[in-house]
Amino acid sequence: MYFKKSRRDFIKDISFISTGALMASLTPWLACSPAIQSSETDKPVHIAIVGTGSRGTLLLDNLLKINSVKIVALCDNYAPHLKKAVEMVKGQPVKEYTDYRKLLEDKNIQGIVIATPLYLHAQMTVDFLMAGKHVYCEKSMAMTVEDCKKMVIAQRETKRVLFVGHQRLYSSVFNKAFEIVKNCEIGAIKQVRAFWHRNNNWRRDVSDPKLERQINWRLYREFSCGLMTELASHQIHVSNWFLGQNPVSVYGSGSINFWKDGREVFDNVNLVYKYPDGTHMLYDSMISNKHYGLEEQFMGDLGTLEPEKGRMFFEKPKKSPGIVQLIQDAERGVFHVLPMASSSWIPEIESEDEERQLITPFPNSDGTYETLDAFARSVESGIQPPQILEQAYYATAWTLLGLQAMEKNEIVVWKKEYELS
Amino acid sequence: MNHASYLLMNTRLEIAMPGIEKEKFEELTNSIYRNVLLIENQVSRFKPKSQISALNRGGNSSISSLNAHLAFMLMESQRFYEASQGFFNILMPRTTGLPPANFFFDEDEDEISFDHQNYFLDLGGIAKGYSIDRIVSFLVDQKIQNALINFGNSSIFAMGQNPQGTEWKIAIESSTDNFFDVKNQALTTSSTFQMQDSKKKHHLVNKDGIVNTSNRSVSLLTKTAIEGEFLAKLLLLIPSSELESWLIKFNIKKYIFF
Repeated sequence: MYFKKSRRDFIKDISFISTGALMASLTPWLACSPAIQSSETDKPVHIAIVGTGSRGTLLLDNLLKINSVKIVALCDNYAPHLKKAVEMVKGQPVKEYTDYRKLLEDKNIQGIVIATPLYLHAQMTVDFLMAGKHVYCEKSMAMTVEDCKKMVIAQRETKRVLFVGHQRLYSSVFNKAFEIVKNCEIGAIKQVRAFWHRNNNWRRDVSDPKLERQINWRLYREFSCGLMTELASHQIHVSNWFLGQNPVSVYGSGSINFWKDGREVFDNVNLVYKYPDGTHMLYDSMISNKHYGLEEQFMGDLGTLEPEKGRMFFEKPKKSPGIVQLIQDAERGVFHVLPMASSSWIPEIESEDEERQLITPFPNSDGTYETLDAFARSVESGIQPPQILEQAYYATAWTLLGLQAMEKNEIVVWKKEYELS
Repeated sequence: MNHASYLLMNTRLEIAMPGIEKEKFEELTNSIYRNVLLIENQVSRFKPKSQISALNRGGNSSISSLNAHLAFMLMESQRFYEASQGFFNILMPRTTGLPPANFFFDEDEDEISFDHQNYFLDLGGIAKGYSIDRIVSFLVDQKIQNALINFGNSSIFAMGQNPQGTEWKIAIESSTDNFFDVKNQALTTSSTFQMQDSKKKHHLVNKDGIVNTSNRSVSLLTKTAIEGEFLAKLLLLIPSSELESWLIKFNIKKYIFF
């Protein structure tokens, strides 16, 4: 006897598409890493770094590990930073610059890595793209939504490669977490809670008071958007990426309530982003307490995901093999013996240790190396990976709109003119 | 095929019901979930605020103050203790080497008493079975004829027929050659051990108070699930030479040792 049932009664996560095939279509930038055509040692891509402060030297350290990359030039207008970077290259011939505009005409450079203060990102990126260079620009993209849009337009017009430093896109942990989300393993996500807490004043030592605003640019509104662009933009990006949608509005409150040292940017920020389907992202960041550290908590009706720590928690147990077979039998109308009886099943996760690791062992890399490697490959091929620039744009735009909401004490909504065509 | 699963009593409760509207199914299973949770909150010794935890700490021992589920389970446990001549015992020694002991359930004096300093009450051996019997009773009241209830794989109840119109065929998970035709009966499985972190942890205590370290399991069919829990443990604890007599005493016809 054939047992007929409406399809809507069947479980959604019985899937006939392999996980690998599904994920490839959802993370096309990972698939877009064409092999270096030429021998890696014969013809490496020539990269220059502009801005060799703390982030710039970290990127340099990673680039030096990529065989297909040759560092040919370094640029910084602060001599100690430039000197330190040159020392890291250890005797390899590199050109040294103090003015980035001199690199525009250097035909020996194929790709540029920009790790300068935020206020310089937009102009430098556009200038380098127009000069025919491929660009990796550290996040956040720029200080205004308009400037971010100019960067995207420049990339499209010049057809050069433009990466933005959202390295989680290439992180194995985050891609595993994304796979879990897309497979609905934690169910429907209706709230995201993200935070980044540190305990330091963000100040760098300044040898000469005249250099205060140059060295401590992060603290001054003319050059920086503070916690939002320095920290939050990563997490807003992840939230948008995993939810598969961008917010429609944001409101919040920020203040300087601890580090009252003449800085002009908030030392604590608190925001609520609302998404089209009613999901909310609650965001806060502060730099006077580091107990809770950094995390994005994706809360679904079946479980919780914490990708920064690489773990997840289940709220409902997986179906037993017997029940899985029963459901499949009901669909096919043929009923078999159900393998079900056994000694008591106990959850793999004990009540005192509920977490399940996403990847074991936890990788050392946060995705920075992988992102730079992908950039090098794109410099070689000239192929812009799909979606990464658009994701960066919307993440940065909503980061900046969040700051606007706090500074103007208003609910900020998306405007049509922000939309990319 | 409607189905639902919940984490309760540190295991998985699954309910499958063919031939019912999804809305009705959700209403029924939500109710089942809340009620089983209520049972757990009173009878689980792992919940500090449960009544059984309070008893284990030497708290108020008045029977009439007990939650009805707890009271019923204690009464049944006493009945099983006597019927099994002490093999089945919910009173556990706090340390090894203590002699077996029983608790006293005096309805006339409205008192339950035991040596809580050296022993504790543990209803883990029959809680799932009891809960299943309550679920079945509830579903019968709701005019449900066909359903499959699986509580942790060790306590299963098959109501009515499967969607094909025949008895539910349920096998031991590790060997589908060994299966039972189940209709309006409980299929209970008990083992002398549980697997934790890939290691066997033995948890049944012999009549002499020593942990049973044999590696055996048994599955059997009974009319009610609580009875299945009691009898499955009994069969693992009795000497093998006495098996035949106990099978006759309790009219156990369908069982498999493995």
